[in-house]
Amino acid sequence: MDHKPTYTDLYFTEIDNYFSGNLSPEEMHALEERALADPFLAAAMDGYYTQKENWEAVKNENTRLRTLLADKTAKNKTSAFVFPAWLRVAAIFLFMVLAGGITWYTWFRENPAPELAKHTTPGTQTDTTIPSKENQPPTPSLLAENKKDTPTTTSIKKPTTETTHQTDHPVETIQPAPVLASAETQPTDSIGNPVPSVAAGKVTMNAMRANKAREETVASYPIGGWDAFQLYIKNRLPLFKKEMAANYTPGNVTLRFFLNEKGEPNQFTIQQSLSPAMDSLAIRLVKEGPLWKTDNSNTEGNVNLHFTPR
Amino acid sequence: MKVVPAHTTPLPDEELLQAYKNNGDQETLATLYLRYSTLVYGVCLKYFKDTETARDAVMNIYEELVRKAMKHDIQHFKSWLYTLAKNHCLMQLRKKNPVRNMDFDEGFMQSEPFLHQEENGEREETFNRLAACMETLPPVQKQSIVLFYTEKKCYNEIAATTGLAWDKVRSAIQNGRRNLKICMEKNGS
Repeated sequence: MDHKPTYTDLYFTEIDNYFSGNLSPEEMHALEERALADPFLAAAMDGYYTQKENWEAVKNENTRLRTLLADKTAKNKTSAFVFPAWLRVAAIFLFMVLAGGITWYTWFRENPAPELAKHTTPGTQTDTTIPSKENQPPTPSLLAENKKDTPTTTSIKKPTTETTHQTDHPVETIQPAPVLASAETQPTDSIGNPVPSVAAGKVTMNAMRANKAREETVASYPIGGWDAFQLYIKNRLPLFKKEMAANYTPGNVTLRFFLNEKGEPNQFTIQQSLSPAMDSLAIRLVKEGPLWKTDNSNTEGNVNLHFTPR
Repeated sequence: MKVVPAHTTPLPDEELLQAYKNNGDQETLATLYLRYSTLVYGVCLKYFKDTETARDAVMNIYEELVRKAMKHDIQHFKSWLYTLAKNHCLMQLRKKNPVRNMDFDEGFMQSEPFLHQEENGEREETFNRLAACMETLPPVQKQSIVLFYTEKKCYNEIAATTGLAWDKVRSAIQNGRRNLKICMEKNGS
């Protein structure tokens, strides 16, 4: 509400009249008598007396001063508003929730990763064919066990009961988007399980729903879950727009990699290649993404990035 | 926002102060401060004898008031504000000039009632003592007191009669009051 408050000075007119000579002797005497009983008034009159020769200027200065004070008050009045206690508590709670969310989101996006070049394996350039025992990079012993039944990337291999716990439960085939690879191109990991697939272009609701069950069936997954990982990819991808302008190709890039004790992905192998540029981009997206959750029995990670047409 | 139009609803100082403490509204505090800003400015003029310095001091005292009013238990706002203003001015003068300024506050005695209400029997005795004490005063103080209290003359009239300046008249009356009080207490014990 816009308003102009009225301020009243109890002494201004009286003192002005006194020093302007507008009061009768009786009125002056009455004011002086009051001043003798009021130290504040007496001290003020002493002060004004020192300026009596310059009274008009003092009077104007006093008026100006009151205007300044009123203006200052109008400017400051909102800053001094006292919020009710419950509102302050609610504001603190909301602030903490927001700060936590922003911190988590920032960490998720800015999770530091070593330089891409350092970890780009020879496979990133050339390994676009079916990986075999002969051309596998040096791997931990666990991977060697898993490679007993090396799959191809051109067909879905159903899990068998003779392998790890991944095969103890039915593995849901990931359908990130309607445009996702067909059954013929659905990538699988080294033991034949479908590789988690992330739509790297558009994120569809199908993909989001499918991701919810994925953490239960895949031993290694990005910390924060697949939905968060998909969101990370969605937010991260536009940062590479300029770089991708000439080289963007829709399709799938399937990556296999190892996880160190910190959960950082490295030693990438391209299981399904799209183009050198898109392969590098896929590796970079995964490397610069969140850490991965893994257990001691599995230090391998797989992911299929599906780049949709623009 | 609560607005307190002083001319229509002159709330007592203490109620305005409490309202400010409750709602933190500076308009409420400004309403209170501006009731006495003329006095504050006069006090600052007394100490600084310069209009600009005094004006700045009035603004600074308001800032100090905003900070302190919330924290202090103020029983009588006007007296408290006078002390705040006086101390602020003295602090500024001490900062400017490390040599201590001796402030003889002539108003110190002024808030004391000149004479206490007494029973009729004691009043005559008091009057006699007062008359005796008047004779002990310096002539200027005695003359000024008589002219002011007996003949109800204002300072200007007393100045015209005695040839003293306005401020000298005021000092003579104040000093005369103080001397009378000392004399009365001395003779009454």
